[in-house]
Amino acid sequence: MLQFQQQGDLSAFEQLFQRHRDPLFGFLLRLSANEAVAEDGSQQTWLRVVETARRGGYSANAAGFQTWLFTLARNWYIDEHVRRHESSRSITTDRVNEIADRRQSDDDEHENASHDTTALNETLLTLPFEQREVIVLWAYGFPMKQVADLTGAPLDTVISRKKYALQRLRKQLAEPAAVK
Amino acid sequence: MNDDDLKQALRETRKPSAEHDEAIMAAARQFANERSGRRSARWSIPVALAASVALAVFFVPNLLDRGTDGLRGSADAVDPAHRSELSAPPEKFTWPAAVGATAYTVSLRDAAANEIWRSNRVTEPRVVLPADVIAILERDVTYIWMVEVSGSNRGELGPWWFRLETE
Repeated sequence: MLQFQQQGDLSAFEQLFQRHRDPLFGFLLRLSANEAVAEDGSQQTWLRVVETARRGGYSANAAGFQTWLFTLARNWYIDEHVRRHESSRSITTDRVNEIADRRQSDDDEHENASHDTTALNETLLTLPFEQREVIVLWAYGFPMKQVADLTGAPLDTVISRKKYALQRLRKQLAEPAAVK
Repeated sequence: MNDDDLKQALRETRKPSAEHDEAIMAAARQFANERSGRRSARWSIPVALAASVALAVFFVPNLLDRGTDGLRGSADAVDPAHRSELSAPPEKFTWPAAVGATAYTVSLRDAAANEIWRSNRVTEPRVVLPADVIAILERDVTYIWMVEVSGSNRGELGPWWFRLETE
């Protein structure tokens, strides 16, 4: 990131983008259960990365690029969706339609996969946001200490959230009817 | 379902669209082009300026220690001290007042003579380093600072340099 910020090295940015693009999109998709929201959030987050580089605002002393990147995405999601309690309405209708149109042709190919992920997404959405974000970050390989840094919660609290989230997920996945 | 299976199930396999990628890469390319342009412009700084600083700093170091009269500032009366090895970045610069000076402007350069900060004009022989400049100072890098004097005795004080110790 520093190489991109200081020297404008595009290949350095491409490497970062390739490495973190899918996990970041997946993180937002698991938080929101909405592809349009996830894509919007991912795009806004990466554009923020570029803008930060333009201002020279990225510091290597931060917790690390990945933690910083996911913190940007998390903050965006909280500002746009959690605080407003508008999980799908806070981005414009045009934007949703635009993304939905693009997705139309892909939907058939992914129909079966979508059925599988829908059940999991619905189960995830039954979790409180604080537990949901912890369990998704855990799934993407973040150590609990890093999750604590990223969410600003004490380590003990994060570990408890993960424990309760796992219990609820396992219980509800074992009893799919209870999700409805 | 064990932890690994659950982790695997929770990881998304879907990817963002090509349009998503292109919008981001377009912004990154634009920034890279801007930065590249700025680098070119920086290299166009007259060679004489960089050469004179390099000459003063690297080839005539004794010149700085003489404590000469007039505008040449004494190396003993500045903070951070000339050639100091600091454990933490300096928070301010101070230097001896110059006779006839009405204002001072401090410039801070890295060892390649690239200016990384220039102060506003100040009337007292001291200036506080902004936090965002302190934040970008790196260890094991030599920094050079000098003072431009405005007034009847117009000229320059310094250069002096300091270095942040390895952690």
